[in-house]
Amino acid sequence: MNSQQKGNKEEVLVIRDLYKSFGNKHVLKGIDFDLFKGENVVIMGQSGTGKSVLIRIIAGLVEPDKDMVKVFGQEVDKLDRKELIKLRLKIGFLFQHNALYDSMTVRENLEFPLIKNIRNITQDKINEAVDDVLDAVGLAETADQYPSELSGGQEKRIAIARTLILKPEIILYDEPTSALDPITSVEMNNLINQVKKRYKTGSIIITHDLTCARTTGDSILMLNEGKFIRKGNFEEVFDTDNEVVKGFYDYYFIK
Amino acid sequence: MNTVSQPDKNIISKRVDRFFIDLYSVTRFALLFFKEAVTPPYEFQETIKQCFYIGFKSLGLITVTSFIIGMVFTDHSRPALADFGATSWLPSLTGAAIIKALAPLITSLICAGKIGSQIGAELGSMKVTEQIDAMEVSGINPFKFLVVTRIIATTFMVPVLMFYSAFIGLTGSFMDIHFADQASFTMFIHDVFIKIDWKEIISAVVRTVFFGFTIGLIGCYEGFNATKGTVGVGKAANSAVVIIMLLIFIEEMTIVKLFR
Repeated sequence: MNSQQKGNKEEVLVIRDLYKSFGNKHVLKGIDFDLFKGENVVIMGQSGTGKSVLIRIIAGLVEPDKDMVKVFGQEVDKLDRKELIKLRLKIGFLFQHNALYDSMTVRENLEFPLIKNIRNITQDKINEAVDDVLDAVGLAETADQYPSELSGGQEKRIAIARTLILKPEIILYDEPTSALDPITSVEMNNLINQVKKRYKTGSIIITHDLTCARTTGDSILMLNEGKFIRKGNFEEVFDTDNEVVKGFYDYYFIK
Repeated sequence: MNTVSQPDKNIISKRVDRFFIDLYSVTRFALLFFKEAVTPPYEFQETIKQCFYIGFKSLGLITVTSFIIGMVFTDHSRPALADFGATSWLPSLTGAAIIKALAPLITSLICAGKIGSQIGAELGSMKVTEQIDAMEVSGINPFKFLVVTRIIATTFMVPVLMFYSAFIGLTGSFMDIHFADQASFTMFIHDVFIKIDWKEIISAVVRTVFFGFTIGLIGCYEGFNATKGTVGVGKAANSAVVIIMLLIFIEEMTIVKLFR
């Protein structure tokens, strides 16, 4: 593994001086950021501040303008397609709207990345892996259902199961509790923590949900106008007079 | 003197720019198809699945349309030939019309409407719901899996469907002639093929290969580049059909002139 040791922590992702613009709109303006194995980092911020763009750059879905993004010691934008595919297998991505393949059953959704990425994998191994991730998200009974037959919370869980199927070392969650009711949101937060514990993943969680941030985040970063304006644990981040940060907190607790 | 106002000029220049940008993008998309089609790994299973869907799903519509067109065309042609006492030429006329022109065009236009729009909508919906990005981050090449397989399937299946359409069209024509003139099947087939040579059959196959490629290419291009949610999906399906039909007529004219 190419990741670096920093003290007792194993660094899996390093971002330095990341810039991204769309036309005249400067979305990210010099982002620095590290992620360690077994750590959940929450990124918060207003809509349109570039949170989703940031994780899409990490996954190699969007090209940065200027940057240094190292995942497991490899610079993402310097990799050829073959190397990028290899690296992506170590990164799981939970999309905001789940992005389950709606023409496939839950089982087929989970089998698909395995069949396409692992040559000569046996059906027994596939079944074992599928059963393991379905067990991890607690939805073994949905294996033969289509995504359209699942509830919003179940779809999210299956989407997490699909990110886990290739045993990634980093998971990028894009608004994991969006469009979920409070009870299902709490279940989702618990699941994110269970995943971290069971699979020892390093995760980035994009959210507007303060309960999700408080429950799942080992550290929280507040993004505003393309830069991180606060870093720390939940209490440290929200103990401030900054209007934007206070606005988040006050809105959430209806002050 | 009539002058073009400034806003009109801008609209025209924007449309011209758009046309050339689209032409460039489609050309790049087509070149990427050829590159990915010859580079392993190959998606044999998915290609066969797409061939089956494309062929099977169009069969019903092609059967009904081709049979009716074969029968109605024969029926409409009879009075004109009867004026010259030439009703015995009816099998040759309808055979030439069906094999040379109607079967390739009917098949391709039906596939443009049914398959082209379906591919545009399916890939468009996968694009806007991030399913294509999900494939990308799972280490799967979505272009190879979704685009290459569909373009190969349409390129291969449209000529096959053209032969089927010709067979059904000729059956409709034979039934009309048989019930009106009591012509035998052997005589009908003999008269149909007496005026058709291999060059014309090859021309029909070549045309449908191009039409099939166009259906797959434009359907996939529009779907793969869909934007703006459900509106974008509808637009992708609609644009796919309109552009494919236009291109089919342009290709038809060009290839017919070249083969003559």
